[in-house]
Amino acid sequence: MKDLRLLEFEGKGLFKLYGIQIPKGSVIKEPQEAAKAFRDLEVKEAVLKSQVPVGGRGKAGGILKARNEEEAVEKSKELFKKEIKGFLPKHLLIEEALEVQQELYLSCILDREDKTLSVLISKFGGMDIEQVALENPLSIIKISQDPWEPFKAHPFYKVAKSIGLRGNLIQEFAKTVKGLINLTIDSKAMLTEINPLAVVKDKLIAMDSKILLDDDSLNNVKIPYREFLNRAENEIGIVELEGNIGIIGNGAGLTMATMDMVYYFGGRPANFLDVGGGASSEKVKQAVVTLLNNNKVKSLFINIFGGITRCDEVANGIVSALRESRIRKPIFVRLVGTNQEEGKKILESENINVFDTAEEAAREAVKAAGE
Amino acid sequence: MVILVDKETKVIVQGITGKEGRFHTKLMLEYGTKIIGGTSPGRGGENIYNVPVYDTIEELIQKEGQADASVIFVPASSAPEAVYEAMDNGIQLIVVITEHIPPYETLRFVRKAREKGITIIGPNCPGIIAPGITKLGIIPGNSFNRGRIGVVSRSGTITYEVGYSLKRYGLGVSTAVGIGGDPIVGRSLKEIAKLFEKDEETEGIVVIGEIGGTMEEELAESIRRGEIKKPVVAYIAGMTAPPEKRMGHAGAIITMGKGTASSKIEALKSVGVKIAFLPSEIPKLMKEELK
Repeated sequence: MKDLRLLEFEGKGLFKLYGIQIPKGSVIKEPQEAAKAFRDLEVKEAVLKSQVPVGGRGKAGGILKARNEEEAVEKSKELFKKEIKGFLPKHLLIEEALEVQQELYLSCILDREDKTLSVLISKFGGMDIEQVALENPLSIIKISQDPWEPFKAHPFYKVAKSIGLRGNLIQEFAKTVKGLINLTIDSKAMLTEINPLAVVKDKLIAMDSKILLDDDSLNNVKIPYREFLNRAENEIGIVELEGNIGIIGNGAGLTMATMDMVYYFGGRPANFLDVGGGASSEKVKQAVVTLLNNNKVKSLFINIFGGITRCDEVANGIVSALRESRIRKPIFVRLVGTNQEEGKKILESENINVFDTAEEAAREAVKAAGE
Repeated sequence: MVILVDKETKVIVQGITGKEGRFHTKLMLEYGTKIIGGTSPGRGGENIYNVPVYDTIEELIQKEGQADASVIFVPASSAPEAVYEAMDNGIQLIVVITEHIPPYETLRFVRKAREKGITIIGPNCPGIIAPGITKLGIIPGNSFNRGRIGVVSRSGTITYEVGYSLKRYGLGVSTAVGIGGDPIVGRSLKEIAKLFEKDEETEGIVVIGEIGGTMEEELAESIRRGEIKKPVVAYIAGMTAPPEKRMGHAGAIITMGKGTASSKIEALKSVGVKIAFLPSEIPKLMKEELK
């Protein structure tokens, strides 16, 4: 499984369909569109938000304010050029600036330990929610919701009161929770989060959205528009990192361990690339070619322990990558498990370095990258 | 003694005619696993390496007698139905190798199994190996020696890695259980560790965790309460994984400050668990613990 993080505006679009209120706003793809977007809002001040699939955007300068059309265009130009944690936005969300009385936290997660959905609520929403959770765990309220049982509002009336909501806001709160739970169930989401959920006069408004869908569940989702779902088809699941050692492993656990090992020996991984269980030689070839063609990669460390994956398939993949790509880089392969002898023979006949232990291969890869 | 299985365990393979089902049936047979039959709807009457294939588990049991355990290789789209079929036929241990089952489906069959007192291992897991005795799943047999260390792991490949490095160090394993890498799995690290605690042959427990979820923290809590007294050595994968980036399946939803490698390591250290920073350090640490 892999997950698909929706962009803020995609999540907010879903919120709206589920009766969760969002700020007035629109999405632009070019800085010039900002003028009209600003005009249409009919407000004194607008917020421009870079649409990147990572958190901590505000602190990274991905959210700016504008007071007129010209400013909106200028700031948009700036945001479209600004990379945030490795992501360049393709969209900006331009919204009305709101006067917020209080920031709450609300999320619904598929709870691994309790084996049900859990709704998490805090009256201390905003950027520092993780800190709040660590320092004051009792301030996070958790309520279970069985995804196959009906929603009951009354526990949430009580929670609403306990976090200081009064009057009309009590019902608004339960309505928002209901919307979020229904959205979570219909989209088979791993996480839906509203942080902050803002109190604006007598309304509750979702100022941000974070939705993580699971790519294995996309065939069963009931949410009405799905155009963004094909993004999950990201062929080889590579995660870019800062260093210069290209890493390929089989299985997320081993690939992470491989990354940890490179750090341990003083190197820095350039990426995380898990070819998964039972990888075909074609998939391995693609992975190796991708890293060979990546300029920042100085050496490759391929760490395979075959269970369902067969070492000969992996070896054939590496060899055909070297036939396809003209680029040569030092490659260190650790190949053990199912059909290991066949695999080793294939690599050795092509003069590729094969190791029995991951540590030896890691050390060599780190050394080669440093040269 | 071993946990969950023994040399008499009668095993069936669901999805035996598929590529993986067939290949690993062969490897399991070579290892000595007692496979009494397999199923594949529409393929009843065939034989795979002399294992009779049936359309349904019901027919299989009528002909071959009751099975104790099932290993499921059925593709994700129909794997949940395979799990329910095994449960309906009174199979008490179900090992789900299949990857990519939607987590909400898993949630449903895992809860159903718990109500019935049935053990599910997986999904997205390598299975169980009792070295030299039997194996259910895809763990490479030649990476393990028989011995006195119990291994429980969230990562398939690191399970093999640990078996292999224990073997190179001259140590062996009583039983190794890969609980699966999905967010929802049938049995947790703590539950398996408790089985090792009761197992007379097991002297020490190796725990392989990874970022995401709070299973390792719960294990630490269980040790604190004195439910697990045997020495534990742990390795947590993903110590250098940057936050906000998902690392394959494991990449956790790290929310509310929990689920990070450091939170897990601190929790385990605080109850006396020895932490390995490389999988290859595990054998040495364990040997010291067992002195």
